[in-house]
Amino acid sequence: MISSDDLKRQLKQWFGFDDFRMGQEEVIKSILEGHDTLGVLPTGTGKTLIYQYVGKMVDGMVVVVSPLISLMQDQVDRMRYLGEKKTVAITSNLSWVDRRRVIKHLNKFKYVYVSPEMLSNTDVLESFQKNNISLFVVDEAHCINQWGPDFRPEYLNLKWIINVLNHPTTLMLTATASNDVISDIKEKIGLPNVDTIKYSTNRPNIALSVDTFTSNEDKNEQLLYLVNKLVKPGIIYFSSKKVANAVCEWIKEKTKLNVEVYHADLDADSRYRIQHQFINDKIDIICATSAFGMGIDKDNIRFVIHYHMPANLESYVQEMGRAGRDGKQSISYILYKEKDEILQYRFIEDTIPSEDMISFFYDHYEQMKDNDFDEKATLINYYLQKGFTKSEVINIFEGRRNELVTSLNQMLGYVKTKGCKREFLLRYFNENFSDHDENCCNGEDTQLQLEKMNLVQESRSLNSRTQNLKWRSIIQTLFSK
Amino acid sequence: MIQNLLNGKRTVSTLFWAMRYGLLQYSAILKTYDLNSINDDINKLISDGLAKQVDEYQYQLTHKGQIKKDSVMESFYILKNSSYQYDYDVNEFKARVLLAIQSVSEYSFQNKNYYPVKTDMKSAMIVKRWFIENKTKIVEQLKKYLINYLAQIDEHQADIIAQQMIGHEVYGMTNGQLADSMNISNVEAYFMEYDGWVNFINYIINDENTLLHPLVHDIRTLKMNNHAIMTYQQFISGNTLNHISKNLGVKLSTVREHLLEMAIWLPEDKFPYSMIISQDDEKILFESFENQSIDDWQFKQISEKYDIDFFEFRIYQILRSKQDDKQ
Ligand SMILES: [Zn+2]
Repeated sequence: MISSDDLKRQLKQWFGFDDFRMGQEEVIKSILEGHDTLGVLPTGTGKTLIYQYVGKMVDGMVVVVSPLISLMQDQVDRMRYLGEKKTVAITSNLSWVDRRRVIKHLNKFKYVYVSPEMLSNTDVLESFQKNNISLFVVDEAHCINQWGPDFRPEYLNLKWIINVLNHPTTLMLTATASNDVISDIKEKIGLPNVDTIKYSTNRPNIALSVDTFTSNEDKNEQLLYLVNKLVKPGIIYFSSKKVANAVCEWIKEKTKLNVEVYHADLDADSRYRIQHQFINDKIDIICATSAFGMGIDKDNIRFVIHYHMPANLESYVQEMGRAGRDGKQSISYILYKEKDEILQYRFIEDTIPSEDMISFFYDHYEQMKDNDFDEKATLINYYLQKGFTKSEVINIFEGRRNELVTSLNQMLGYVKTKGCKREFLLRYFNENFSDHDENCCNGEDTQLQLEKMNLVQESRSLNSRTQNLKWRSIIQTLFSK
Repeated sequence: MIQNLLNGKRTVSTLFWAMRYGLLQYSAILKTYDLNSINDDINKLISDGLAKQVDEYQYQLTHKGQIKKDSVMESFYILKNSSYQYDYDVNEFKARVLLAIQSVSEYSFQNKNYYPVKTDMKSAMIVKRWFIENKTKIVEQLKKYLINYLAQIDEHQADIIAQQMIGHEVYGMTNGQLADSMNISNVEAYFMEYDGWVNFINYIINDENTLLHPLVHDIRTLKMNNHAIMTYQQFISGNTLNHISKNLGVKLSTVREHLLEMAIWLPEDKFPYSMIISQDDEKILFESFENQSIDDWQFKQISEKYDIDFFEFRIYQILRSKQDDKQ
């Protein structure tokens, strides 16, 4: 048994911190004692530090399975930035040559990020089997249950994979899990004794506001008012790239702010620059799509605005949780125009294969099997290959559709409640809350006072827009004498 | 077709029509430019009354659109560095040279912890090796190299290149930011950038100072594909198509495609047209299509009457295109 003092001494030595953040120490202890652990820790608690810390205490490799492929390379860059140079990611983004190279030299790495579908490949799995794995981390563990853009049926394989790897100590991490989701994660991961360490989802320093409109013009006007008034930097989330682009251009036109879009259509070069300009406070506001997060932590984000309502409360908590990681007062807005949810209902219909489609796929599999499958067909094919019958698959997807609709209705319930928003949100995650006050939310007929919360910006922009510099001065700033 | 060409998809048919439209030198230039957005742009043109759709693949400028085009063309920046001969992997070079500049910049500030510019592993290794080999005087050397280069090109282009550089607490401008700052379209900014990098690549290759040579050795490549060149060499040294097929272990149809590709890329006098089209056949072909524009030729006009196959027909079409171009 390692004492808290020892753990803290190491924390100071390795990371330079005096104290652990909420839940970190407890989870680390549980892992070091060899328990399979499920850590439910609020957004912004520094989950990376947990497995990085454990990695320093154990001999073997730390394997991190994460469904967020778009973020994985960012996580690797971050680990390397933190000094963990023996870090690598195995994803489908890797070229074939690079993948072979990594697999061949897997033992040279300490921290290996891997996407679920890569882990389902025999060659990848076999090379993991040859290595000593000290910790197996399932990041964003709620994705086992959740069905979103990042859902991977391969997550259902994890139970089997953990066994094939001889059951290394397993850590499941998530920021958002109701009791139902917790039991679902445990059931699907199939480990007999899991320690659950759960902390409150509440982020008391983020005020919650939902503003309702009857027209898009009103919504845009409020958005313009907010981006001018609020302390920067901030993020605006959208469900569509097109709308993100359009609104970004519009804000550029109407204000002097530095605004940029950040989504999957951006090339690697622009992504890199925008990410770092944002982190270094050169950009006031990022217009992002929900499915596309940022891999690098930024502590001082003061507001998160949802231009479109998220699909469920889990996503909402994840996204608004990017605000206020430094603990200072921040705010989350949802701008809701009546009937906005139609977009989300349509999205559900678009993601889930219909009964007709499933029947067609099963009946014509022989003719189709050599074609390239689209996303839905790939999903159906996954179940077909696992030996599910047509009616079973139809039932599974019907069930999923109902779950999604239920989740969306919960989200809508949050948007529409006249009561305390925070109470509603926390009740969904099986927590009690009854401390509503003037800084809590705009439910209960409360008017949030931005001035009093220090959320009003005096100077309008963090920086004036980038100016054209002359090449000679750029070269001078690049190299120190 | 044009989208395929700009993306670098080089099927023989894409190449053939590219040659007919005079677009060959643009192949693969927009490999990473987001061409999906073109559909949006086209819809915008239509809704503004500047263009109309003819069929699924063709659009036509309206009269209003033609006037607009003429006024835009006067000021629009058109790519200058387009080459029939070489392919430039501009994106790879850019990532690589930016990483090199960044690593030297951070080194000059004695900073080891930074987020490196994203490249593939090969480029990262090339830069790392380059850095280690030159480490002792690298800061002054690179700085001097960059100043030398930028001082001798157009001032405006030098600014554009420098504004993209990444280093210690310097993150440069994205394509979009560059475009905004100069008040031009993203495509124009992309072309300017592209021209700037191609110039830099050529400068490095031809420079006596070899400091940056290791970064470019695989960046400039011949446009023609290697297999096609091999087929071509076997053919001009007298092998029949069947022999080549056997020697190289490829299908006969592939041999034909390779030869078509080479005919498209090479100047008329470098390709042995007479080894494929006999004098008699050439006469037949000439007479059959005498008063027709090359784009309208149909193979079926001759296929039933004469013993001439599609390959011969296409080769002749290419030959005639080259001859027309010279007139
Ligand atoms: Zn409240």
